[in-house]
Amino acid sequence: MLNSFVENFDLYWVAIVETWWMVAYSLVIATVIGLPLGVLLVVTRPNHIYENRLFYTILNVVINILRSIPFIILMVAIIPFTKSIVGTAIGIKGAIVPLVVYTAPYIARLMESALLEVDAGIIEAFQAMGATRRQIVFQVMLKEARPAISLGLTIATIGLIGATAMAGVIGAGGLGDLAIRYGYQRWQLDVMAGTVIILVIIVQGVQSLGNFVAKRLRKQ
Amino acid sequence: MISIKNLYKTYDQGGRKVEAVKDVHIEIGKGEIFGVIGFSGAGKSTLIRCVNLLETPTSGSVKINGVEMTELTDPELRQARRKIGMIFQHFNLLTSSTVFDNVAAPLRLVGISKEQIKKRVDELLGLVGLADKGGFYPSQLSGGQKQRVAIARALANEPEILLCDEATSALDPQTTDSILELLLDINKRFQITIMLITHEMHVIKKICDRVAVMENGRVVEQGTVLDIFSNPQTQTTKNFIKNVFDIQLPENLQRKFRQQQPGGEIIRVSFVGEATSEPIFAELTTRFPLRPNILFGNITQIKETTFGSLILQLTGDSVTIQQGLQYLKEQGLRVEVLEDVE
Repeated sequence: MLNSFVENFDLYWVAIVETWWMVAYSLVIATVIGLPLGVLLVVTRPNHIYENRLFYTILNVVINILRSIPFIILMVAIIPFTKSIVGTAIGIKGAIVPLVVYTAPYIARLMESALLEVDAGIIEAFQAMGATRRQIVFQVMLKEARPAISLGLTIATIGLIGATAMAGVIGAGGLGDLAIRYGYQRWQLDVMAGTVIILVIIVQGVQSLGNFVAKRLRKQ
Repeated sequence: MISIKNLYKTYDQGGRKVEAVKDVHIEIGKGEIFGVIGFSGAGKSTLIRCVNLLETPTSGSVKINGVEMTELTDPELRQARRKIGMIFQHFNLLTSSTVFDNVAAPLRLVGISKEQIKKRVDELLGLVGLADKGGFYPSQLSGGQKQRVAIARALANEPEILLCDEATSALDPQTTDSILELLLDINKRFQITIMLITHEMHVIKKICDRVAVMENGRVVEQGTVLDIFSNPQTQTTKNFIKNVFDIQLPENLQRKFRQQQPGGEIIRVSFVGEATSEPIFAELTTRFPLRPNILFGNITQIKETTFGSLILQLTGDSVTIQQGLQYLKEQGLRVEVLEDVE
């Protein structure tokens, strides 16, 4: 097992790097899109500071639709869209677009639930002291929700690592692809086991980091 | 200072109209501590939120220093709110910020220099007795300390009005008293007008000058706390008073005394302030051939005034009893003949 690992080290390493880039790019872009959407899902709901029933309903439905499509289908279905944005539908570049489309609505939901945890009384207190709605979003809601946001992004990251496994279908490589091609299709069980072990370590690491950050933010 | 007229607030709850506040009139003068008491659901929480427009009144007028609050634009309203502090039952502090940052929050909203914020926050923390707690997080403080932080925060912009929404309802009796004393101290020191809502008569008795009793969205009774205590009109008010100052003689005792001593009257005498220290009853017995038998008595402090009540049986002939009652009234006592119980 150890021998096999050393022999195939280059194989693993390339896959790790591919996974890393896919996750890193997708996560950053999906957060940039998903976090504001999560904020909008909270503040436009009835009786909130930017109440807007129509906008809220539409956003809610669109996110639900995107969230119901399995990643493998989504990836294929939006090939024209992917091509129009990054010029190609294959490789890491081609994978990032569907990964973002898949993860951003997920992050939006996670951020929504994180922000809903903020005590309505605190928001009321700031309204009472004459805070503007923008100040309430940035200085109260986002600030108070930081621990929950960090835990939400941890969940999103792990989900994203899972989704990258399917990106092998469009030739983006990565650890999941390695496990499928070498481990499953060529029935090299040692490679499959090695990949799974690496994935377990990465997921553990990400979760621990997320918990640590959340704990630091929560302080007491 | 605060002038509420004809105030109505109606909610639409799934097609059903709920009138939370109905036809409320309240005038609160500068430097006054005004209490609103009522059971939960009486509408007092909605009422206090109509003062700083956290709730928009359905109709009616809310004026602060002559300015109609319901007609302000958003920026004007925010400006006005900075001069109205508010504290809450559950404190509503930022859990992720230190005590210092919590108190600094309203100052940061208006953009004051760092040095000025530091100076002001230190001053405020000193005022509420938490000078050494600036670096703590709310979760490290007791309920009373959290409310002190909230009070410091509410005072940051030197408001003219402080609204207290059940501010002591989550605190134990001892802590409640220390918070009430702090509020009283702030009221005296800064001439700040306080409007508070509560369901505890103890709070009203301890610091309020005047009180309004709310029931089903309406103010059913209002006046000075002394008047309300000495002459409650509605059953709700009587029930609230009974909790802190029981002046009821149990019915079976009343009946028993009447049977034992027919021909007398059972009366309740209430006295306020100075009258407490005079030997009025000694005078009564020397002037009139009457024999008062004290059945029950209670004395308490309402804000800074003493308030007492005695239930006694006066025996003698009915003419003399009438003269005696007249004499007691002339001495500044409130006298009430208790009706025969059925």
